[in-house]
Amino acid sequence: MDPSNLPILLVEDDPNDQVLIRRAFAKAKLMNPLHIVDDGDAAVAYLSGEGVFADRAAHPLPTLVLLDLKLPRRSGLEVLEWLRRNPQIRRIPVVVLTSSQDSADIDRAYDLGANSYLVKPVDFDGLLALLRTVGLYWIVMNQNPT
Amino acid sequence: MVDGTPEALQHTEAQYRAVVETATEGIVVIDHRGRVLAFNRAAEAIFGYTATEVIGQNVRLLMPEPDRSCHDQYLTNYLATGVRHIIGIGREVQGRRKDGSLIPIELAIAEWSHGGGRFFTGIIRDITSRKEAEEQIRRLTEDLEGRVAERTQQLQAVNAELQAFAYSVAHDLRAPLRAMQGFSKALLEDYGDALDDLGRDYAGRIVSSAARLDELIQDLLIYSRIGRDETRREAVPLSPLVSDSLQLFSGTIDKTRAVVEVDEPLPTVIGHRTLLAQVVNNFISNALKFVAPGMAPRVRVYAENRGAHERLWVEDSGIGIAPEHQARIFDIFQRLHGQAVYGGTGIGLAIARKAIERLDGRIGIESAPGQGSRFWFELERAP
Repeated sequence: MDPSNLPILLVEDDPNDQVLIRRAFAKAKLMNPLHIVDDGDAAVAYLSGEGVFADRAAHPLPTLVLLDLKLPRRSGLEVLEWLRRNPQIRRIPVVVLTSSQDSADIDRAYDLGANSYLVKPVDFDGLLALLRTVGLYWIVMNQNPT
Repeated sequence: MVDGTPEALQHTEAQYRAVVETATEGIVVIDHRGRVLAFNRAAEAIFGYTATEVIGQNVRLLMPEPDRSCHDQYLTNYLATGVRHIIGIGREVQGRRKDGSLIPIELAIAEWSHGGGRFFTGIIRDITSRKEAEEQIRRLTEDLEGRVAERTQQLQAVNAELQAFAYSVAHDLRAPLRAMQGFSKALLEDYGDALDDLGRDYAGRIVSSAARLDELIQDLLIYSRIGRDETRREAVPLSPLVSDSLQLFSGTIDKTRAVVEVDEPLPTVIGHRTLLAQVVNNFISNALKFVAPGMAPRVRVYAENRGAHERLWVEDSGIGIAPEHQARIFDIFQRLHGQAVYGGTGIGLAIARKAIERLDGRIGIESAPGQGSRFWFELERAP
């Protein structure tokens, strides 16, 4: 399968960050379909294919989840905890992409089974470099679970 | 009067009686069966009995249970075995007043014999006020402990609030900053052609201001974290710390054609790796930054042994700092230069000082304008 067709789920509540991350994807030539949900409950609904996300053709299970931590309703850490307990989808790689550099958040995220923890740089070029690396590593190079 | 005459003996007895009667401590004399033979005025005051009520009675009258029931046994045991139950220096026991109330007393007992009989004298001190004082001290201590616990709780609450505040600074304040930076950059990149030079200059100023604000927030977060995070002490070799720092600034070193000299080997100190890395990075970056325009920085890093401590020096050939400014450069937000000349947040040396103080070390500077600066910190040498 062409790695550039693998879907990515972005869980991000900040509309500016959504646009900037989309732009960085485009600049980094990451053509993967980017599905965006903006709160923790929506992330859980998307991943379980419930409600408006029931159609898996329109809302496919992602190959990679980019997860912000500070989200409305359910926090990113709660989403992660839920995901790792869910037998059907628990192996999906999750890359935390957040503003928090708090060591408690970092440790907790790894404890709950995050595959990677990245801090959003304020500088757009930094964000671009970071997402280019994420695409290369997690989409192109990484052997994904079945 | 002559000793031994009846008059003299009478006089001596009167003297002794007076001594006993006027003594400020209670005196009770008993015989070997526990019968009270003498009971002075102070004892009357302590126990509320008159001497006539007590004399001839068993002394257990003056005791609460369980001593009251056991005293005869104590006495018999002692007379038979010589094992003392209470005789000797004062100890604290409870007495029983006529009205049945209890009274804390200090009791000392002396034994004597006369004409084949054995007698005991009890000296009794009412220690009610001492007990009350002790009780008050105990209450005050308890109260103080309670207040300390309460204050600690308040402090912990304030600390938690500060932590939440720092988190919010990190997360919530940086998000709009990222948007400002990202979109002004997008404007420049995607619509740069549609703007004239002035328009591009404006957008560029938004980009650089956002970057500067981000730097400030980052430094403030580091500063606040130094006081908060637990810092476990460890042996930290300074050599790798310095070479990591030089690696970090290799871009600046190349660009400014700086000459950096490190007098190896550097010692190992007791500290905390991350905190010390911040201090060393700060010293090195200052040494590279504050040079006269067009001058290539010269930096020398060396250590000096000072007894049980090691001092790390970072010496530069820069513009130097006048003595009157030297104390305040370690305070937060203190800057000696305009942003255009030498950029910076004014937090770096405050971070360095807070980190070193957290590690019970010392930090300082020796400098004069035009003569360069020598920054130092001093920590305990690792064994």
